[in-house]
Amino acid sequence: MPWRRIRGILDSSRRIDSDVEQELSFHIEEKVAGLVTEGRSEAEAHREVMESFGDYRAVEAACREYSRQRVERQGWKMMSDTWGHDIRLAFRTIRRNPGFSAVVAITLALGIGATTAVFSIVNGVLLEPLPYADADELTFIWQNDRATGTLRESASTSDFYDFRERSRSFRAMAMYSQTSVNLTRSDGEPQRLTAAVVTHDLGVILGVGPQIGRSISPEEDVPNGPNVVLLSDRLWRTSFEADPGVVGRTVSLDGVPTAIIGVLQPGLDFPSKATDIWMPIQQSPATAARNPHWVTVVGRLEPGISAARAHTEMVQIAQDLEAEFPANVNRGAFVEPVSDFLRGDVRMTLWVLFGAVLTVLLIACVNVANLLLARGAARARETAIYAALGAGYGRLLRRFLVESLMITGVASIGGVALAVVGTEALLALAPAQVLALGEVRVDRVVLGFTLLVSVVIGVSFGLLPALQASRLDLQAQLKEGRVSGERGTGSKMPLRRLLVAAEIAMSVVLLVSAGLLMTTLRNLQSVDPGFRAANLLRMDYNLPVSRYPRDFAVWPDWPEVNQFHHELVRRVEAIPGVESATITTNHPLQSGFTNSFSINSQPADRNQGEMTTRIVTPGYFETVGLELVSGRLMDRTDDTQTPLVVVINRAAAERYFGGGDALGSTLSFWGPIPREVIGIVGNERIHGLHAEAPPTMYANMYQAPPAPGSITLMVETASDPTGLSASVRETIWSLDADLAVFNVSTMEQTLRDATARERFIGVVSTVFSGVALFLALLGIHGVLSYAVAQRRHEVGIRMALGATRRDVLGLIVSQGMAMTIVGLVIGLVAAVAVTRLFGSLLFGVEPFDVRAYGAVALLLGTVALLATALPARKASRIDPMTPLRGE
Amino acid sequence: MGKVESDTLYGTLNLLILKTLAEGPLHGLAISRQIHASTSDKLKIEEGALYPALHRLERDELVGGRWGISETRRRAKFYKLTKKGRSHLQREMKRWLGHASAVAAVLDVVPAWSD
Repeated sequence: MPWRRIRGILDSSRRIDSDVEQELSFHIEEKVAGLVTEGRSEAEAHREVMESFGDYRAVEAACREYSRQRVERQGWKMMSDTWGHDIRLAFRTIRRNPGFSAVVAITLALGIGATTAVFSIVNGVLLEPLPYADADELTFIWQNDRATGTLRESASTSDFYDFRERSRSFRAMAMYSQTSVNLTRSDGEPQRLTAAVVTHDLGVILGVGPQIGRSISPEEDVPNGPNVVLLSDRLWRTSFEADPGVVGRTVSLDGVPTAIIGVLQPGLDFPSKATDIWMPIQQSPATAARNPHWVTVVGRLEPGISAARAHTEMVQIAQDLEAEFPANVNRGAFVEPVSDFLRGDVRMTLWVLFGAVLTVLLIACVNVANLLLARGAARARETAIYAALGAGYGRLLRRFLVESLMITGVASIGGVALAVVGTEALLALAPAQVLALGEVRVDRVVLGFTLLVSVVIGVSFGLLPALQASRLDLQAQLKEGRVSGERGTGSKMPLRRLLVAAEIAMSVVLLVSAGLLMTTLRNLQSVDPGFRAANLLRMDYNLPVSRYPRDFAVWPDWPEVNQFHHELVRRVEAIPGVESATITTNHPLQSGFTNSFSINSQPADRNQGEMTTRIVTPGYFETVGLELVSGRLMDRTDDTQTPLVVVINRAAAERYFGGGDALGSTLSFWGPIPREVIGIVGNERIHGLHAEAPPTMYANMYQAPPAPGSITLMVETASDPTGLSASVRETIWSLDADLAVFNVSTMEQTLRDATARERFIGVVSTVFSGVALFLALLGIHGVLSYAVAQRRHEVGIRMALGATRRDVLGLIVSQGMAMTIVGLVIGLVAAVAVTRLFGSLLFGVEPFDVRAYGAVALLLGTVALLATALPARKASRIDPMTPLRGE
Repeated sequence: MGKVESDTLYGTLNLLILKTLAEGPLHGLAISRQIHASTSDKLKIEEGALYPALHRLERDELVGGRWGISETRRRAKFYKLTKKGRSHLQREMKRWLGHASAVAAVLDVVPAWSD
C-alpha cells in the first residue's frame, strides 16, 4: 500500500510539471499568434512575449511549487476527512452494540489493569536503576563459612584492610556496619535511630555526595576521632523540618554530643531504607582485629574487571589469609554485585507474578478474539456489501482498526484506573522485602507500557476481522441468506475451537503453578519452628555506653549492664499477665551472629569454625518454649562468680560431638575461656523456616554480656501479648526514661512474616488462576452456545431422522470435551516445562508433583463438563420442527 | 501606462484577479486582457506575476482550477472564483477601499469614488 502512494505522488508530480508547462505554453502561443497578426515576425513576437515573462524559469518553478503545495494540502484534507468519518462510524457501531462493546471493554480493562499493576511493581522494584553512580560496578565482598555452609558473612576489620591491600580488582573499598543509637531531644520520647558506621569514603565509592554540608573527612575517621554525623534525607525531613541550618548543630546520640556535618541525598537508602544516619567507623589498621566479624565490605570494581574475575581473586586472597591466620579458618570469599543482592531475592517472585498476569491477559484477549470472530461472522453480510460497493481493502482495514483501537483505548483508561487501585492492593499483601526496595507507583514508564500493550492489542484485534473479511466469499455472502451463509465462515469454526483449547492450556499452566505455590505455603506453614510462637511479645532497646559503661578490659564484669537486665526481668515478671521474661541478643527466626569457637575436649589448636551464638538470660528456654533434651538449663543465680556454663542445641551436639556425649565437654569462644556444656535443647529455626536449624550455642548473659548493640526483651504472656506491650514499655522506662524502645512485635507476627513471600505469591497466583479458569470456561461456553445456535438446522434434521435428546446432548458434550482434553494435555505438558523455571520458589514439593497435576486435571475436567452442560441442554431442547420450518 | 511590479502591489494583484473572476471563469490570458481592458489600458500585469499569483490563489482555495477548451479550440486552464474566494474578495475590497480613503485624506485629495 505505501508503494502505491509513493507512485501516486511521483505521478502527480510529473502531471503538475506538464500541466504548468501546458498552461504557460498556451498563454505564450496565443500571445505570439496575436502579435504575429499585428505584423511582427514569429521570432520577434516570441522574444517580446518571453521578455514580458521576465525570468521564465523562475515563474515556471514558482507555479510548480504552488501547485505541489496545493496537491499536498488536498491530500491531507482527504486523509483527515476519511479518518474523521471512520471515527464517527466506529462510535456509531459501538453504541449500537452496547452489550458487546461493554463485555469486550470490561474484559480488556481487567486484563490490562491487572497487568499494569504487576508491571508497576516489577518496574519500581527491579527495573528502575539503582541510585548509585555506575551501579553495576558496585559489589559486596562477603566472607562465607565453609563449616556452616553460609554464603554471606561479615568480615573482620583486619580482613577489610587485608582485602583492600591485596586486591587489584577494585578501585576502592569501604566497610560499614549497622547499629542503633538513641537520639535524645529536649522534647518528646527518645528516638531510636538506625545508624550506619562507615569508612569516610563510602559516599565517594557509591558516587553520591551529600545534598548539603559535606561528607566525612579522613581526619574524622580515625580511632577516637571527633563525633560527627550525616543525616539521611528522610530523617532530616521528619525530625529536623528540612532546616538547611541544621549543619553545624550538635545533637545528643547515646548521650554523646555529635556535630551534624551534612545531609545525604534523598533516595540514598544505603545500607537499607531504615538507615537514619551515617557516622564514621573510626577504625584503623592498628586497631583492627581478626575477630569478631562485624563489618560488610563493599567495593567498586576497576573499569573493565568483571565481578567474576574479582571473585576469583578474592577467593585466592581468602585462601591466603586462611593459611596465615587461624582466625580465618574456613572463611572463603564471595563477590556479589550489589544489584543482585538487593534484588535477587525478589526477582524470581516478581517475574513469576508477571508471567502469571500476562497469561491472564492473554486468556482475556483470546476470549475477546473469539467474541470478535463470532461477531465478524455475523457481520459477514454487512462487510460483503461494503466490499461490493467499492470500499477498498485498505478502507475496511482502517475501519476495523479505528473501532478496535477505540474500544481498546477506553478499556486501557479503565485499566489504568484499576491498576492504581490494584497496585495498592498488591502492595498491601506484599512481603517486606518487596516494599523495602524502590518506589512503586504508576508513573510515565508504567503508562508507556500500558500504551504499548493497548496498541498491540488494539491493532491485533483490528486486523482479526479484517483477515476474516478477506477470506469471505463475497458472492456467496450476498446470494445466500442468514443461516446457510455461515458456511462461508464454517460452523466447524476450527480457529475458534483452537483458541479455546489454547485458553484451557494456559489456564492449566496457571492452575498447576498456583497449586504448587500454595502447597509450598502450606508446607512452610506446617514447619515446626522449634519454639512456642503464641503469646510471646518482643521489643528491642539499646543501652548507651555513656550510661552503661562497657570496658572490655574488665569484661565480663559490667555491673551497670548486668544490674539493669536483672532488674528489668524482675520487674517485667511482676507485671500481672506476664508468665516469664527473658533478654536475648536475638529472637527466634533472626539470623543473629556467629562466633568462632573451640571444643576443649578435642585437640586445642583445632579451631572448629563458627557457630551461631545467642547470649541469653537463663529464663530464655522457658519463655521461648525450647524443649530440654538432656542435661539441665542455666540457673537464675548464675553469674560471673559461678562456674561458666553454655547450652547447645541438638544440631550442635550431633555435628560436633557425633554420637558421643556433649555434656561435660567445654566450649570456648571470645577467647580461651572454657564453659561447660550443661544441657542440650531442641532446635529452633534461626535462618527462616526454609533452612534447617544450624548448630547453636547459648551463653549466659551475666557471664558473657554482648558488645554494645540493640538487644531483645521477650515476654511470655498469659493471653494476648499486644495488650501488655504498653505496660512492658513503661517498665523499661521506669528503669531508664531515656531509652528508646523499638521493633515492638509478637513472635506470631514474626512467624507470619517468615511466610510472607510465599503467601504473597501463593494468594496472587491463585487469584489469577481462578480468573483464568473462569475466562476459559466462558470461552468454552461461548463457542459451544454459538455452535448450537448455528447448527439448529443440522440438529433438527438429526432429530427428525431419529436421534434422541441424549444423542444430541452427547454430540455437544463430546465437542466441548474434545476441546477441553486437547487443551488439558497441551497445558499439562507445558506446565511441566514452565514449573521447572521457578523451582527455587518451591518448598517441600517438586515441580512435577503428580498429585498437583492430577488435581488440576480433575478440576478442569469437571468444570469444563459443567460448562458444556448448559449449551448441550439447550441443544437437546431444540424442537426439530422449528429449524426445519424456519429455513 | 504603468507596469504593476509584482512585489509592490502583491495583495492588490490578488484583489484584481479575484474581481476579474467575479463575472465568470477565465483562463490566465483572458484575465490579463480583461484587467488591461477594464483599466483603459492603464494597468498591464506582468505574466511573471500573474501566473504565480493564480497558482497561489488556487492553492489557498480562493479560486478553483479546471482544464477546458479555449475560444481558439485549444486546451487551457480556466480559473473560477470559489465561495471562499468570493467572501474573501468582499472583505478585501472593503479593506482596500478604506485604506485608500485614509491615504487620500492624508494627501488631501478627493478620490473618485467618494461621495
